[in-house]
Amino acid sequence: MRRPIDTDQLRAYREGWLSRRRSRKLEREIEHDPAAQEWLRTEDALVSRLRAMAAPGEDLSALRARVRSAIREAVHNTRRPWRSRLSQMRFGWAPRVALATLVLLVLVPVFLADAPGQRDSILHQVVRDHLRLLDGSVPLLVSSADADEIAAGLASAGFNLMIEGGLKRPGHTLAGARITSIAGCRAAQILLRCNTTARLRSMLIIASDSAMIPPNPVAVREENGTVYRAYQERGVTTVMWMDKSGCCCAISGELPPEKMITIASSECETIPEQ
Amino acid sequence: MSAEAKQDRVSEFEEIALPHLGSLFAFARSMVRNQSDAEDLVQDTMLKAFRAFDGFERGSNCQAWLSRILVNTYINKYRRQKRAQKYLDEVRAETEPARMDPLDAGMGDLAFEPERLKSLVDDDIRAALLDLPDEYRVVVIMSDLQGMRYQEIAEALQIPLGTVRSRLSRGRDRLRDILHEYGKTLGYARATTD
Repeated sequence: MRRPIDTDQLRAYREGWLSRRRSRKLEREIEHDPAAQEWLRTEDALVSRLRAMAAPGEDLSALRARVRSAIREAVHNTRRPWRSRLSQMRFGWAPRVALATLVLLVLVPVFLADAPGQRDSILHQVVRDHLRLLDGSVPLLVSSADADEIAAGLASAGFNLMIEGGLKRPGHTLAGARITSIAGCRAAQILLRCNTTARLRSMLIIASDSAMIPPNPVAVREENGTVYRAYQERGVTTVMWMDKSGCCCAISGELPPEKMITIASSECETIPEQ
Repeated sequence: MSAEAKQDRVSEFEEIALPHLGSLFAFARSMVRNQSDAEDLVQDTMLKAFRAFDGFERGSNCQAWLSRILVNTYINKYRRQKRAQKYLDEVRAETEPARMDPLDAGMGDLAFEPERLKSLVDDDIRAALLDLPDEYRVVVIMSDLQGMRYQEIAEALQIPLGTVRSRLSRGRDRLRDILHEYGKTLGYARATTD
């Protein structure tokens, strides 16, 4: 009995992603497969239907006028009185040098203090990934330092915070929380910023209706009595482990599992005992 | 900049960008739920494009450039509002065991075929598009509604070509599933009213 043709193959054939040879071979198989032919007809119908929707039936003259008017308004509003006055002022070289020095003196220490990752490129990337998670590139439940707001969001998502001992950790400020899925288990990742090092760490709470430890990690490593488990979802690796206080910690980033585990173990050692 | 130069810049922008208003509106209309939101999105996109017009390389693909601005504007303005709830729903759907759809009871499975697609109106298809995750929807819209080439989409979204293909593939699969569900609902409604 002939095996049914995979729909990914059919789509690749239809879109012209296959080599000529593979395409011809598949074509012959399709000739004897009514289900594949039906699938292709439906795909054609769907794409034609979508294409037809691209031509809007509505009259766009009102929208065109609105856009034109908004652009003209924007042109008029680009004049900034303070800027034109500033541009008319004539500075000699001495005030310019003084101003540049002042800016450097103020900005450079702020920039250096704000870039802990520069001391360690890998950790920098992880911190950046965390920030990216916070920034919203990965869906976030709530980006807030307000414990009540985060707690309410998590409770409404079915996480029992009483069991986990609440959200507060000494020496840390809440930065946000996201709901994620780790190996099919619902989990809440709560991000905390260390008040002294500005480094981000996160606690992980597995939903009460899921297993306490998600099954099927992609990598596991034991170091100094701590077991690190790595999971991958949507291209993001999350490594979880229990710290010495029994708190479930996690770290996420777009790096391979082994590398993330190495970073996690380094993080685990550098995080001061609470 | 003199008043004359400003006027020239506006005229040039209108000449290059405004012809794409129709396709941009169709794009926006598939990204947000109602017409007025789509108009706002197009207006915001055009304003941003105008402000960034100096950076636009003349002669390059204006539609791809405008589409990229529209996607970024959409992400910044609209996605944040609905992201939390939608993602929660998605995670729940992924982690909760599948439930029996009451519509399935006694109905049997109605195959999703081209004829069934005809029975769906544009609003059904638009609603199905809105049910897709954003990353799939954007690629499906760019490819199938806008007719953009994969390379153009990859450049506009700054993602690899392979990602464009996989998102398009997953997006279409999801779209077919959603429309299949709509079809079943429609069939059920007909069966009960007949």
